Amino acid sequence: MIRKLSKEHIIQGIFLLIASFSIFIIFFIFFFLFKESIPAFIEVGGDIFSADFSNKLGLGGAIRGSLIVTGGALLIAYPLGIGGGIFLSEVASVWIRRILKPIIEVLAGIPSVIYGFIGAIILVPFLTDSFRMVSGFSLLAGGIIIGVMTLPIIISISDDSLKSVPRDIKEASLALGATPWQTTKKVTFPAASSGIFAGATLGIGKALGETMAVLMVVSAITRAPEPWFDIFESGPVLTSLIAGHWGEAYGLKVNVLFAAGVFLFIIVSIMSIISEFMQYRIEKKFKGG
Amino acid sequence: MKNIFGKLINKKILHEYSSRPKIFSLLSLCLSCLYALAGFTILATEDYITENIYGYLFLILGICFLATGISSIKINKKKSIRILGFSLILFLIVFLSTAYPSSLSLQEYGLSASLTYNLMFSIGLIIFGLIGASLSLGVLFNFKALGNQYGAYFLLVVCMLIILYPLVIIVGQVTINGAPGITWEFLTSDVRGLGESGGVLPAIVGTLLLMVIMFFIAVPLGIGAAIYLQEYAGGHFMVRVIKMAVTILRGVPSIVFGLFALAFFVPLFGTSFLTGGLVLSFYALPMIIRSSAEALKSIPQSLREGSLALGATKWQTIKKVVLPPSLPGIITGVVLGIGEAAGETAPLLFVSTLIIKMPPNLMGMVASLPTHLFTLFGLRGGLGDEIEVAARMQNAWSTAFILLTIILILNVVALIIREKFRKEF
Repeated sequence: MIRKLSKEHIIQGIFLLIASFSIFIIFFIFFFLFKESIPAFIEVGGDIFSADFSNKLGLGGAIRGSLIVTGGALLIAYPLGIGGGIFLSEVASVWIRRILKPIIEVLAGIPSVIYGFIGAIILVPFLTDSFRMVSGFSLLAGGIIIGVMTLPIIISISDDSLKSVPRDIKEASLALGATPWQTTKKVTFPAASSGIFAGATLGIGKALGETMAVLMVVSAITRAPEPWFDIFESGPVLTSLIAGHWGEAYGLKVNVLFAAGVFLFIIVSIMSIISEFMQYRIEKKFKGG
Repeated sequence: MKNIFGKLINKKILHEYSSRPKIFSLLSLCLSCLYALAGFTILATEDYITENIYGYLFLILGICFLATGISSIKINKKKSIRILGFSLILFLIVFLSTAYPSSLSLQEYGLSASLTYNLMFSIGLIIFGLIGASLSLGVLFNFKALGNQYGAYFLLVVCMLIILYPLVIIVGQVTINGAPGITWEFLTSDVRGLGESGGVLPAIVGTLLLMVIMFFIAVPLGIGAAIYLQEYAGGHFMVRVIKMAVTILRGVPSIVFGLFALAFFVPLFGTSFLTGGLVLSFYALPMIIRSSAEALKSIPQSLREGSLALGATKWQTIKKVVLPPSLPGIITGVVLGIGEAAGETAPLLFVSTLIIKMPPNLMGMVASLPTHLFTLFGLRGGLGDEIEVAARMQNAWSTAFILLTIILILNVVALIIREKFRKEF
């Protein structure tokens, strides 16, 4: 009996060890990124937030570029994604849902390098013509492509949140004579909106961290657009700066690129923590309520 | 469909109200749908129509909505004013389009672009067409709640179609441009030159090799972690920490994984397949943990309790009772996770190279389909004469086609497994 019990303990210990592996990875990533970027923080100092990368090794322009691209992406992904989510969970019949769900999954599974390739070959010339731009490789193109790539996440999060609204609330509304759409608009959506909002932070994280598509449709120049709101110009973005300039970088520049990685890691992790925390609270609310 | 028609020709409604708003709203509905469709086609084909035609188009739509609005005032004053307002906006646009030149330069505001009327009006056709269709559906149903519902559902369906459009474009374009370049020689020969001739065999084999490494590292770790999270620790403090770590890991950008590989693995294993495989395994890990945990979660508690009540230990219960029925779900997650990681480029950026001779060496540099595509894309601008550049572009399309095919096959496999072994408890 005692032997059997101890064997069980060993197995549980092994599983605990495997499960804590994720914590080790997070710790390792942060440690090694930070270690490599310390020289950048010490030697570049406050200049790290300046917009001038070529001379002062500042990341300000890239941070700005990241925010612009992410903002544009969300403007596209949010309305469409939430609409798609409502369609999937509230409107579509069972068999349409069974067809569409895997298709959305495919959309999420297409590699980012293919999005970037198609974006650079089809979207960029289209934008060049339509807006009479000098070159279509721009923050605008990046925002559109990243928006399309973020769509599946927003759709599935909206769908999940809407589906998790307890059925009795909806049925009460329908029983009072409301049409299905009135129920969705006035009852289901408000109840699910906190979940959708929590998922929003995940979408932001994904959009911020997207690399290859940005590198291919925005290109990796270091000069920040002037004035800052000129989305029709190309500019540096945190991710594409790292990917595009690693090859030619040496010395302190490498450390600055690692610092860009640290910024990315911290911002995205905060987004993940917020979303996890909010989802935890929502689960509690629905279970308790 | 039958339902809608039934309501439309409902005699009682016809008797109650005049049929004029119905005819007008039906007309504006058809016109709006037509406009939206035309706007889409114009944008998609870039086949712009002459600029002054847009003015007439909007004028016609405006008149239609004016008639609808006036005729429906009897039914609901407040809501018909909304329709009149909409037609007013249309007239305003017609007025503006005649008063201003054909393109609006944004240069004076510091932006390096100008808005052409072609583009703006095509987008306008879509937007006003959709809004108009939604509004006229309301009139068609005498402003009843059901009309609003159909209007909203119409917009949602359009939303879904817009979402599916990029997928159609991507799969369509990659197939049209990539499939003709697939030959036996392309699939089975080394990369020659700078990718303008020869094939992609090293990249295909490289991607498969990375998948195998991921299978042996990420899958045991992922399933093990899921078992611990779902079966052993309930509500434990440790569980919350691990779950948080998995969520954070899921969000870590792929380029950060690349930097991590550069700082941690490259000093240990060099720029090798081993490094690439390990980093991709870490990248795939949170996806596999999450989907495996979902699969385990769907097994009802009563099965576990039954097994434990018969005297089985916890491990025996997991091994014999919980794992077998959740296996299809776990496999689905594993296939999708590995597929997604195998398509990733950024983590491999620092350890990959274009030209690799067969057979690939586990300690040699990484060749994979995504990095191959990216390098070919990067070389599109220069290096070599026109014929070479064109050949390189063709090879890039074909590489994209192979990559997309692999991802689609993995998705279909996952779908089949899930559908075939779908079990409801």
